[in-house]
Amino acid sequence: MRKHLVSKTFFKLCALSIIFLLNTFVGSFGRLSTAKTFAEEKEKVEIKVFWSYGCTHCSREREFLEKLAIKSDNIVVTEYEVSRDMENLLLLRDYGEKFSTDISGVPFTVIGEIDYLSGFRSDETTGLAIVNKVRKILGELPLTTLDWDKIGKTGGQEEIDQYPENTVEEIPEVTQNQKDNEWLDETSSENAVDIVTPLKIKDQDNEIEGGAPFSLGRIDLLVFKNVDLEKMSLPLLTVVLALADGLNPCAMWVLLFLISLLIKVESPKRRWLIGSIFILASGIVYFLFLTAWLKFFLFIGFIQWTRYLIGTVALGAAHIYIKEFIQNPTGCKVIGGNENRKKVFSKLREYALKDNILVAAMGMIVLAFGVNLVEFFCSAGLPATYSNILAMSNLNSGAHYAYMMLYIVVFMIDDFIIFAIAMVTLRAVGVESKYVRWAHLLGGLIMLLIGLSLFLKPELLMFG
Amino acid sequence: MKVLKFGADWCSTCLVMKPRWKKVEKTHPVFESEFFDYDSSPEEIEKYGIEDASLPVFIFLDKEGNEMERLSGGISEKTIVSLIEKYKDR
Repeated sequence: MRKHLVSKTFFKLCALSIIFLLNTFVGSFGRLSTAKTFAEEKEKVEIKVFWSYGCTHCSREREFLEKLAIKSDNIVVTEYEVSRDMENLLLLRDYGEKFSTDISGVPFTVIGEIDYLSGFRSDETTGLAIVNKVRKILGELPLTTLDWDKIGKTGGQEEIDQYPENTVEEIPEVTQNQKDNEWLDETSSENAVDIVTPLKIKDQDNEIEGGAPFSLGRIDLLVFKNVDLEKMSLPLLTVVLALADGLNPCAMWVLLFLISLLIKVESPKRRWLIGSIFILASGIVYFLFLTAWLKFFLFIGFIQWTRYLIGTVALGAAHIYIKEFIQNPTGCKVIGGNENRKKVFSKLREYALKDNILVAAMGMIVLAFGVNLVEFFCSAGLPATYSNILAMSNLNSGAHYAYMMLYIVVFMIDDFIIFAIAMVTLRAVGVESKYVRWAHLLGGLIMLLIGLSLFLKPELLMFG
Repeated sequence: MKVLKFGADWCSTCLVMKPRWKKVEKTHPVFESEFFDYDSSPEEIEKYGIEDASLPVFIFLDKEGNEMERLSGGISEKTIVSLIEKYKDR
């Protein structure tokens, strides 16, 4: 009898334990899984994703959202293609205004009409950020990256079912989860992606080390060890295009004339100052041009015809450069029309030799702006194409400006060298035509590849 | 023999050619030369039909002022020397 009572008590305890465990299971599961939480929750959250054809990051996000929508009854995903549908593009612009954000590319994701995300890096970073924004709207605690590693990556129901065993260990992590929740409250939507990004970079590195299929590998490059070639492709492209652009005669003739004036100036300080101001101002103007192109492409760059238009410009530039390499004209074409050129030179002479250094400096700045504006179309092909590539790549605005700075530095480097040699030796020097010729060939071939890619495989030019 | 040289301060190749000619003139003092700036010598530019040429332009004249040879763009020192050797007695 006693034995019977003991067994009955034991049975009751077991039943209670099972109920308790089930309760814990359901509670913890609700906290940790996207599937059950959304299925059981009260409201539906609509995720609007703006995407375009040829955008690899968009494809990744759409795949992710498709899986997420299958798992979660409370999520409704609506897709808006913006390169072929003007209405969708206008809607995207409306959201840009609503959130007071730069709609600087696709994918652009609107979550429950109250939050948004720009770009998509990976399931583990942006994907997790999307899930947590949905959970926030639903009043749920966010998932940590640890949670995500366990259930988010595969998203398989089997994995989720096994998860409760781990949740017991994870319960003390609630404080950490609450901490994690804070960043969603305290940061803007844009920053949310940035915060997750470093985790992704780490993951990406691991993938590359593990031999990811798209990795180009790593090499030792002179003093730089373990250089990731994939990450080097955009910097390398920047350097080559900027170099070809910098050797463009449109960019140099005014400086050469200025040098011819400055070497006759007695004061070395004045020589250096006037020339440096002119070069610096020219660099700033060019930077502004690049920025304007970039903003333009970021704004309407999703449209397919823009891609084709820039593809045509790139092929046109390639034709000119390769033709110049083949024909090998070693001399200087007379640029700018006689009257315009004489006007520019007379102004340069007037201001560069002014007694008042301030007036001279101001004159140089105005002339640098004016000359670059006049020569805008002469040298528009390369910067326009390059800006288009930047706009197509998945880069944040900081990276955009960093790449443009790199372009400008390389673009101006030959000018600085020529100027510095002239100021030191007091003899104007030019660039050997054979170097210009080879730079044109290199630039021409790169522009040919870019032009073809823009028509046939634009995703090749989407870096980042 | 006389060599007419047409160039401009804003022309990179002209700047490259300047020291090259200077060197040849020192080593081969058998000819006289004259330089015309593209922007400040409109008469000569028109007379010799340089308006649309690729600068620099070098015109080799004989003693009577007849044109023997015309070169344009970047020229190697070797080519200059060989032409001087060829035309020095004319």
